[in-house]
Amino acid sequence: MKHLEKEYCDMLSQVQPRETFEQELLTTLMDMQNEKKKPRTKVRKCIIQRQLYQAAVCGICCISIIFIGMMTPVSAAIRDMYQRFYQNTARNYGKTIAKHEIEINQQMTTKGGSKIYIKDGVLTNKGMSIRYEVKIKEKGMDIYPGDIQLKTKDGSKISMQQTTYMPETGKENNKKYIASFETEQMDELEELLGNKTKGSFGFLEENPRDEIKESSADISFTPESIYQLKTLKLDEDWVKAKKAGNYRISKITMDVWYMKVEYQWQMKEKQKFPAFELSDEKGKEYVSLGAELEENKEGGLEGTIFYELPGKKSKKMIFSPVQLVENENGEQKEEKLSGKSIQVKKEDIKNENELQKNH
Amino acid sequence: MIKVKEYTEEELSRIISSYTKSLVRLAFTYTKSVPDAEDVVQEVMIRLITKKPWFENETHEKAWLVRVTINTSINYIKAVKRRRAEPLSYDIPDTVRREEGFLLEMLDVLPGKYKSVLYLYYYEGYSIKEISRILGKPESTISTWLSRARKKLKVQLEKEGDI
Repeated sequence: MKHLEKEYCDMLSQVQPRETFEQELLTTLMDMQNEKKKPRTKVRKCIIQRQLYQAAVCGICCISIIFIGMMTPVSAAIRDMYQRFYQNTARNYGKTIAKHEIEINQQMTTKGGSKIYIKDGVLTNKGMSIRYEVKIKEKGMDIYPGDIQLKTKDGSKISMQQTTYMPETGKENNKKYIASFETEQMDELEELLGNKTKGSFGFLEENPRDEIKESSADISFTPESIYQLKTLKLDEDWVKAKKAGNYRISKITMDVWYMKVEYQWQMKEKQKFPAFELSDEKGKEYVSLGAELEENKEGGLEGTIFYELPGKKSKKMIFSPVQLVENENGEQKEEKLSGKSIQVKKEDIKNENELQKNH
Repeated sequence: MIKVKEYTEEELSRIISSYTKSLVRLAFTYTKSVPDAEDVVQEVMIRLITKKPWFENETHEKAWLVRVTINTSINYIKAVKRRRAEPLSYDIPDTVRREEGFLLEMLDVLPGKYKSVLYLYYYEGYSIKEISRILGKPESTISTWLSRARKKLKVQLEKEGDI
């Protein structure tokens, strides 16, 4: 691989724009700024044509959806198929997470010399969540969880892709982590129940002074159940605040060991990182374990925050608007933003089975 | 750095000389032709002077240019693929050696997002954390893409025989 990486860099070094390109580009841009006229290039032409094509496809799709929606027998048949599908796949699983925990107890030494202890895991209706601890690692080394590969009784493979990972607590020098994985092979995953299962859990190590290294640990366990994640989709109006902009929470997912909150924000100053501080009705604050923010196609912001799970006795979750500010040392701090908080009842976050019963 | 009303010739000249070569290479990994990569970079620069985004510092400025180059390249290749039935083939510069040309063809099996991560990691020398900031994706996603890109290349190498 090292040879390949060198060849790759050598090859790209030889790809050069024409000698006159930079000067031509500068002239074009200056002319454009002065005359406010965009030059026509092959790329521009292609992209404009593609946008027109996309608009046409969207239009046709919308008309088709409206047309199908109006034909009552067809929409009734689709609704019926959907309901039957969920009735068939409904299963009764245990109520507490502890019941679903699978002991893994596997220690590994990576190629980079780090020591990782894989503690336990839970199979979920999306894939799997695993807890692990990085016991020893070199200073400056970053360790990322990779994918999980499991083998079914008949020898076929189940591949699970890592979707997120985060520290188990917000404490400094945290060594314990949670990683979540998703798979599309849910039928095969259900076949694992009650059977001794073998597989591997990969890690990627990045050391700034060395090449990246990949290692994997052999894992084996006997899963007995699948935990249903609880979700709540919110279709609320935007909360409008003068300075903070408009914001709303779109989805809350209670994962095995953390809570995931997806939100949208419309604000003028895009360089800010708006988020929420979580507390309950007794004023207890919950730690944020990580956050992500992306600009969406409409020019707004879409974010995800991961929190530690609220306490068993808490009934309400209160999300207050804040913005994350990074200081010179790279440490993040929360600054409160003026604006109404969003309140959610914990009992409203339900798994699919509970949602069906209520309907 | 603050948002400017209009770029001066000096300012544009600094941006062009600092980033053009690197952006053309990045675009080339998608467009497979230097003239098309140059067109993509021109389009990116036009977006820069029309949108006039606010940059905190030069790192932020480069991150924006890299992200827009990737998006413009993807839009361009999608548009070209829709119009032509057959996939694009590499217009390899004469200066590129035969075995390197072969490497380029091999890289073609990788999805676009893997190409960007490989380019930014190996050629530009960014760390996973930095790529995560540039592409606006979580570190976990970048590490997964990098790992999968390496695995796919390894499989491809084994199929074709090491170069």
